[in-house]
Amino acid sequence: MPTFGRKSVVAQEQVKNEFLVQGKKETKESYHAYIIDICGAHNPKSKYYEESFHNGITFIIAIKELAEVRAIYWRKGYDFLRSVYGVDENIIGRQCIVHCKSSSKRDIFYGDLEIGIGLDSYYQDELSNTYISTAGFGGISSSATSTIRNFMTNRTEGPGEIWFRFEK
Amino acid sequence: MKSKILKAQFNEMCLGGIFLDFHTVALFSGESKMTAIEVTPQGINIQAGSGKPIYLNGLTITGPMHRQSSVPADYLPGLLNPTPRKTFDMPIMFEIPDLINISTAYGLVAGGLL
Repeated sequence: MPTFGRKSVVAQEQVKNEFLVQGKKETKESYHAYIIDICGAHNPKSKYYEESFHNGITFIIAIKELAEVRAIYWRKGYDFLRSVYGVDENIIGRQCIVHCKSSSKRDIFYGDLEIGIGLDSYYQDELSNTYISTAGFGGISSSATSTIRNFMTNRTEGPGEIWFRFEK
Repeated sequence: MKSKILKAQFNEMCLGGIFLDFHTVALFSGESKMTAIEVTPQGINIQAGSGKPIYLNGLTITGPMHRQSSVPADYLPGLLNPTPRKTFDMPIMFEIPDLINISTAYGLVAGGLL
């Protein structure tokens, strides 16, 4: 939307802000990728990528559709990354989807990264894979449902989400 | 059963995790699903599973008002070992002189003021 020709400064600023926000949020392309390395101050240089990244967290990803290795900046917060997804070795090999404006290096670098594609996974029955409590022998009542479920086997459950292994 | 499970990876290779229920919180691991530490409102259950040890990695094992005997005393045979398996251990006893001193000083000050 053009910003010129408006007399009100407030309206002009508002339109300009909307324009900037929409421009940043705009995603036209979505790519499937594998995370093959994670760069930052702890690991500035990846053997899969020519550039080095000293600050922040940058994922080196192999994009399936483009058959290329690209870098993408992790913008969702370091504590979120480590609390939910764990350390580097636990993230490398995971599938992800990249939403970006175009397939250029810059647009992919500032694109959105979404970790985890569940469509091709066969998940476990989580309550059947915890533990069997014998606390009842000592007079401590605990989670009986969990204990009973763990004695049984769910025949339809799968192996869970297993991701690829890339040599770091 | 409304609970949460935290694991490093949600697959069959990852055997350890944290179980968060409404009243029970547990750490669990193992192929046999029998190794766990449960914290419940009724108490704490530490179970090692069949054939697995519970290893208390410390020479000083204490509880309320007692301390278990040390390793050399444990290895002496019964008749030759006059030491008890447990001894009194009350760290508050070391605080009692201080409490007496403080009480006395407070009493003197209060008495002087009155």
